[in-house]
Amino acid sequence: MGRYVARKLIHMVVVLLLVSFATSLMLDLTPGDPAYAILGDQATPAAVKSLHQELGLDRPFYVRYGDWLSNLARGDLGTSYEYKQSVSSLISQALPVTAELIVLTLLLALAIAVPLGVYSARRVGGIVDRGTTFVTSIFVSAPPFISVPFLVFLFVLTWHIFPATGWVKFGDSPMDNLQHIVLPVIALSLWPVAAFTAALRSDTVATLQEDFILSARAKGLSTRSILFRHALRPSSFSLMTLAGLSLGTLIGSAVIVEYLFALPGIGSLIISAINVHDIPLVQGVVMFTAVVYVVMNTAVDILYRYLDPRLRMQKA
Amino acid sequence: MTSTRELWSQDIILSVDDLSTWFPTPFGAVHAVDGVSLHLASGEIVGIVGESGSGKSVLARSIMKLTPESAITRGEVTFAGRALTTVSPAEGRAIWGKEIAMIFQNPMTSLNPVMKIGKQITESLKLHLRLNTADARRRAIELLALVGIPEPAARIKAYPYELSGGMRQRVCIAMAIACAPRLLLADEPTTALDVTIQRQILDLLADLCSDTHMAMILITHDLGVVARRTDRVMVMYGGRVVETAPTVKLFVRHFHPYTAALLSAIPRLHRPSHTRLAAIPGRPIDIIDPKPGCRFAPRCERAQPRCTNEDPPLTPASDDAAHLFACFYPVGTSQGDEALRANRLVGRNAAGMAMPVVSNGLAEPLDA
Repeated sequence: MGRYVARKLIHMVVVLLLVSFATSLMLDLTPGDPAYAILGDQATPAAVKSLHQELGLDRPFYVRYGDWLSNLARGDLGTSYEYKQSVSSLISQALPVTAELIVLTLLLALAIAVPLGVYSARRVGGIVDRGTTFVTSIFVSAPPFISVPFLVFLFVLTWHIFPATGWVKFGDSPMDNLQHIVLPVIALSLWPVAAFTAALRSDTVATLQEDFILSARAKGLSTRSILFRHALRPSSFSLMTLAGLSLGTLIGSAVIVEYLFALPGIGSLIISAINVHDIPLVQGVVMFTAVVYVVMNTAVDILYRYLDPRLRMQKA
Repeated sequence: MTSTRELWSQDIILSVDDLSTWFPTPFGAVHAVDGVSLHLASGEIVGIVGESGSGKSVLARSIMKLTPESAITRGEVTFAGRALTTVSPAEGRAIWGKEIAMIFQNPMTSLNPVMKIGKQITESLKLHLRLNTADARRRAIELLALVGIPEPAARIKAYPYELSGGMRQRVCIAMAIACAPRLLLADEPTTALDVTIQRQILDLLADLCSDTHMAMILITHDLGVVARRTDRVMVMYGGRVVETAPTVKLFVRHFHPYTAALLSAIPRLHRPSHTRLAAIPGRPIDIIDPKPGCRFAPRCERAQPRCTNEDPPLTPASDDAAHLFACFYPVGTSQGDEALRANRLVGRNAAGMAMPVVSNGLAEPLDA
């Protein structure tokens, strides 16, 4: 187990180095000069030059990247050009919004997908199964930029149930906070609901063919406890993998959803950073997202061992 | 023997009357079980013997209502006065696992791989006997000890993959007898196990029956398995009962050619080495949309035209009401011998199966 964790850690570091290098390189290759974004279009060449020196942009790419890495090793993500604040404090302000959005989305998606997937598997081709397939195929083909206007039209403009945009901190007013997050969570959860349901359904269909389901039925257990106590856990490998991997997709979709609902989360932060060529902020946010992603994948690997005790015996 | 049957009839725990189960398929209905009747007294052990596809497992699953939803079942199953064919799912759940339990063929796949064996035993104790966690755990340890698992208190925390096949089948037995059922259906409980383990498991099951007065249906394809451990044997072929008799009698005298063929297929130690094992010619029939006629006729050396267009009824032997068989030309009777002789003379039976031609028709009859 110790060797397993050590190998995983080395793997993580390599992935993160590659991500950070690629981000820095792309930012360097992107046309446009941060100096103009900061000073405005009318800036004089002399002012641009002095700003380049101040920010260290006159140095070659590899020197800047090395510099950034050594600062990162000391826990310093640099200072945003645009906000004149440390990147880490900007991330920590935006993080609660995105974290709440994604955690609620995952919870909602699982709460809907688990019963839906299991009950569709119970009778393949039955009414529940066909109805579920029909609805989820609509969900999966409606990305946020299509579903959000639709949701806003119904819930905001027609029925006036939820506010269209804006954000209230949970600590300030829990009710208002939830009011503002309902629509973004719904919009973000359509895709995972569909994907999770499909994954769980197909695994559960296979599990229900197993002999041990027959012996559970012979014990006189109710359908519900057979489905949820005996069939669910051995059927949730694909679901668990997908839930872990979907975190990356969700962070990506959250960028769009946050932007459309004007939520001050990580997504809005990175969009504004890209717009103004705020290099330290983009690098910091991308790095942070990559860390979350890699950590979640490792957590899924460890969860497998919980789901299937047979894996605990194997040497990694 | 008539007196024994009367004694049984006072204490009949399971009655199966004219049970049929068929599966609709795109190619026609598969009649897996076709008009089977069976009566079982408490404490009695009945062996059901037949090749793969003879319908014995489907019969057991029909009794347990474990057949797939597409299956259609007709006939009556009565357990301790209750009609099982019409029980609601909720009433059924109070019977399955508590009064009637089942052991399956493959212990490697019959246990939930991701659940500790203790939990798999205690869940029916909690459900049916309403034991609390501590009592259920204590009882599970007792059960594991009873089925011969060493260090039961430690093993209760084991996962199935940590146990050998024999141990897993013992766990399955412990699971099945947890609530002291009155009837146990054992569907080929030793087929997947080593020969050395087979005997231990069969002895364990027989001991449990005699200790707790539990009735058992022991399903197997091996007549050797039922020989010393059952009170009665039912031989099935093509979804039908072809012969049934008290075990001791069946091994002395049998009437149906299929029973004779099964018995001669058991390897015997007293035969000289390198004796060819007797095999039954042909393969088990497909029972899709069957036509009238004996199911065994296509493989039977005695088959006459009558066998191919008329169902032989299950009738008692003239001198023994407990010994029933379904054959028009039984083994050991003059009409049976005559039919065999006639077929041997022409080298084929009435269903068209080729046979070695014997000029005087008097070759050794089927070894029995």
